[in-house]
Amino acid sequence: MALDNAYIQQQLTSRFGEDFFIFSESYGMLTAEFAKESNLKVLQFLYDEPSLSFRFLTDLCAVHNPDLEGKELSVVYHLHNLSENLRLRLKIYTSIQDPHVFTATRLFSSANWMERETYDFYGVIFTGHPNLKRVLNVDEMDYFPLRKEYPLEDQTRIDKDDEMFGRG
Amino acid sequence: MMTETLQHIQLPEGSIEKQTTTLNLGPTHPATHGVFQNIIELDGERIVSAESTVGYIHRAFEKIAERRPLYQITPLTDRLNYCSSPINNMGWHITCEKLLGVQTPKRVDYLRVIIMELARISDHLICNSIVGVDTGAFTGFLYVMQYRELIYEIYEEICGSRLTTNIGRIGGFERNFSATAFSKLEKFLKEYPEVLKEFENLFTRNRIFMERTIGGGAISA
Repeated sequence: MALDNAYIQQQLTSRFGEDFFIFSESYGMLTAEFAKESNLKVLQFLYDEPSLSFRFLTDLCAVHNPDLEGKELSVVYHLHNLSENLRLRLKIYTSIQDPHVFTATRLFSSANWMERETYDFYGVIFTGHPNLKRVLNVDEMDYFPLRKEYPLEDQTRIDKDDEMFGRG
Repeated sequence: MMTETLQHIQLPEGSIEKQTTTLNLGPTHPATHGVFQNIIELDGERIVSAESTVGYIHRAFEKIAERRPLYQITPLTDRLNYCSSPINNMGWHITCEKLLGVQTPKRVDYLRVIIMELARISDHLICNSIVGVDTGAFTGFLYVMQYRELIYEIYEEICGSRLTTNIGRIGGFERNFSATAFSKLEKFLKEYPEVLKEFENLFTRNRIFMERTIGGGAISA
């Protein structure tokens, strides 16, 4: 039987219950949102269940939504079933005051650096990570640069006199 | 002068007694661009552990893309992998088209496939021939470079640039392929299979190449 989004949805609800997930489907890709405490259980189930076998973590990143009260940071997992060529997106939310999420490094070796990167740029703390420190920025950095409170400079500004870079 | 003041190198506690060697490999990059440092712990010739620094080279494309209009992001996607910029460009265009709900003409799809296949071939030419260079064979590299050059001429004919192509637009191409582009394509299609065969003959069953590549480089996911 070919794997499709409806089957994944049905498998997940029968394993974890009706109200556990919020499903949505954007441009053909299934997205499942759920509580952050259960991320390892869900990942493990998707990995182990033979008819699903999402054994490849393509991407792990975070999104900063400053407007969502209590759910400012979301961590997004992109899983890939290589034999059926189907992708799945998992999304968990965490507040910015307590950005603790369990690490997926036990399950996916590739999560190691991706979690370090997510920590580096968004400040999500992955509990249990073997080596959670900055990977692309300097160790001395004391902020998380891809959060929304650091906007890009307005490119139309004219108050800056900078001959070397073509302004002024 | 007192001898203590001349002691510049401070060795960590216990480092004289330990049985392994610490070696600073780099900062260098396997392909000479940018930096990549590995501090490795050696037991004889076996690497026991390694601490990698991939370098402070994040270019914050995500941040830039938060602000600029969609068409200003295409040149940034060139830089994601400059051996096959057109594929990255097309990836961006197709994503934007999906988001905007744009239906592209059939001809655009075909032209995109052509240009992406060329990009894939030139990228694989680079990586495969560079493996040759790294294992001690320069000939194959220089030989296939001629055909990478021909692919770049085709790019140049289509979009005006060679490496960072910024090829195509959201919804299609900037213009149709010219007659010269098609004649260059014909030339490439006619000559390249023979060259690839020769290139393969040079490597795949070559004993030195086999001994230096087989059994190396497995990475767990």
